[in-house]
Formats: sequence, C-alpha cells, structure tokens
Amino acid sequence: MPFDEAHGREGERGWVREALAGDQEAFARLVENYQAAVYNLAYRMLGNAGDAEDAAQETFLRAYSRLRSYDPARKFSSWLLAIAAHHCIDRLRRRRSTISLEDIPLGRQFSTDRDPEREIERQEEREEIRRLLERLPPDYRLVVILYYWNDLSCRQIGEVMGLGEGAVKSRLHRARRMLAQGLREERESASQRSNMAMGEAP
Amino acid sequence: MVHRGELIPAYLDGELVGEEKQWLEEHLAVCARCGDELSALHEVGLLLSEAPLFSPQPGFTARVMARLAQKEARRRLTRVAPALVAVSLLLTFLALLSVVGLLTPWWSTLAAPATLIELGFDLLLRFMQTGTTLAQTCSFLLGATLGALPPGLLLPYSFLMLGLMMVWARLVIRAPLPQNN
Repeated sequence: MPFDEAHGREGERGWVREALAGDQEAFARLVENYQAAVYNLAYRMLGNAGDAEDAAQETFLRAYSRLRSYDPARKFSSWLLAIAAHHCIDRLRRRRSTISLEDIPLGRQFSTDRDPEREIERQEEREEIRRLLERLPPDYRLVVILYYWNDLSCRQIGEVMGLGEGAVKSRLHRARRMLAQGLREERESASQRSNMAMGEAP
Repeated sequence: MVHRGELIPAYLDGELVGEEKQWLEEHLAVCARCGDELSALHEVGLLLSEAPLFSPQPGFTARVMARLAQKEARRRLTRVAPALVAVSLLLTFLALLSVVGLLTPWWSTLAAPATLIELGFDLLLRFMQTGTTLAQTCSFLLGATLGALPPGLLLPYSFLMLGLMMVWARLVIRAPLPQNN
C-alpha cells in the first residue's frame, strides 16, 4: 500500500492517535507506509541488508514505545526518520570499534528484474553507490540519503538532524564534492585495471 | 576569498545568480580541473537521483508486529514480576514461620479476641515476638552455615550466591532500560 497523499497528514495523525489508544492495526498501517523510507535509510547508512532489516525493525519498535512523545505539529515522517538516523549512527559508532564495513558482505537485494545482464549492471551500480557513500562520514552520509532518497528539503533535513538549514546545505555541498572526488578515483582505478588487463593480454 | 570550486554544487542547484554565477562560468571556461569537477558532480547527482529506494523483504510489517507483541508480553511479565517476587517472599516467610512453630499463637489470638484494644495490643506484642524469634532464627541459620563452611570456601560461596541471584534477576526481570533520545 503506497502512501496516499490525499489520505495524507490527517489520516496519518488519526493512525498515530489510534495507535496511542492501543490499536495495533493502526500502528501496522504506519509501519506499512513508512517501511521503505526507513529501510532504505538504514540500508544506505549501514551498507548491508541484514543490518538494515534489523535497524529498520528496531526503529519502529522505538517509535512505538515513544509514540507518546510525538508532537502532532511535526511531520510524522521527520520524527520517524530522526529515530532511524540516530539509531543508525549509534550502530555505526559501535561497529567502528569492532568490524570495518568492508568485512560485511553485501546482502542480496530482492529484485524483480529478470534480465541477468541488466541485473549485473544494477548490482555494480549498487556496489558503486555503496562504496561512494561509505567514504562519507556518517552525518554527511545521512544528509545525502535524506536529500536524495527521502526527498527532504534542506530545512526538513535540519529538523531531522537538529541543524540549521545553512549547516545542512553546506554539508550537502561538501558531501557531494567528496562523492564526486570518489567517483573520479573509482573511474581512474577502473580504467587502470582495464589498461593493465589489456596490457597482459597477448 | 572563496575558492571558486566550492561554488559548483550551488551552481548545479541553480542557486547562484548574477555576478557570482558569471564569475564561476568564466572560470569554468578556462579551468579544466573545475570543469572536471562540474561533470563529476553532475554525474554523482544523476547516479544518486536514479538510484532506487530499497524496500525490505516482503512481510516486514508482520515481522515488526511480531517483535512488538513479544516485547509487549515481556513488558507485561515485567509488570507482574514484583508481585511474583512479593508472593514468593510471603510464602517463604509463612513456611519459615510454620517451621519455627510461630503460627499457632497467632491463630489462637485471632480465634478468641477479647476487646479490640486488647487484641491490638496482643497482636503488636506477638508481632514483636515473632520478629525477634525470626531474626534469631536467621542469625542462627546464617551462623551455622558460615560456621560449617571452611573459611577458604566462604568467598567462593558468596560469589556463587551472588551469581545465582544475578541469573535469577536476569531471567525474571528482563526489562529493557528506558531509552532517551
């Protein structure tokens, strides 16, 4: 069930109210609506499907237990994404002391694409994006994710992260420059590899 | 002075106007490095905006709701845990009382009350007596246990008891700590 804009914020507020009154069905509807937004954020932050699933579940559990502290004047999605973002950054902080991101295999992603060649291409692109995002410090990564995938404006991202609009904008610009730098390096090393491969060929 | 390259992201977003925009465009025409940067940034923007939104495996909502139900059940258990502890303590206490043989005089007092004041006074007295006897019993039991143990075993014994208590607490009271954001 995709998010229905017409049902929009009024319906959403109703669901929150009903969930607060103990209606699990209403909360399930909230989960259904926001699962992709939360899961994608977790996936892009953490870089693998297993952690993303767990972090996304944890986000909703936390949201449920903190539902009372939700201020209906705010957008529900901003509130929820803030919980997800904090949780992911926490996880990354804990993870840094134990294992590096490179050691974790990329989870298999569910795909409906039947064309294997196109599938490989997509897989490569996915890997490239993951490597690029991984170069960014977590809070920069978060800004990029919220901007590109959750379609939030800089002001809304500021609300999620507790930052001013200007600070978000400058982070976004810097993050993009870092990504561009990374992309150039990726391309260079890729062309070097292919040059070497050609050189080795008889 | 701002490095001109730093303006490129703003330029791509169409946020630059007038002089700044002109200034950067003039620079881009002559500086190959910044030109590269512009195209790389453009490419990054394309790559990211075309990247799909990942969705969880089907059944995500059901998995969340199942975990939620589990958590709720545990929370309910945590809520009744103090009552369970109280009841078990009370039962132990009563068992101890009957073992020591203190229950009988209580019954006889309750069974044949004289006046209300007398009854209250009697009960208070009994209560104090019982308390004293219990304390004496406990101290006797403790002393006997500790005395029977060789001094070298005392420390391991206390650790064992402590460990058992912790395991028990872990099993019964598995309350998640309140998390503040």
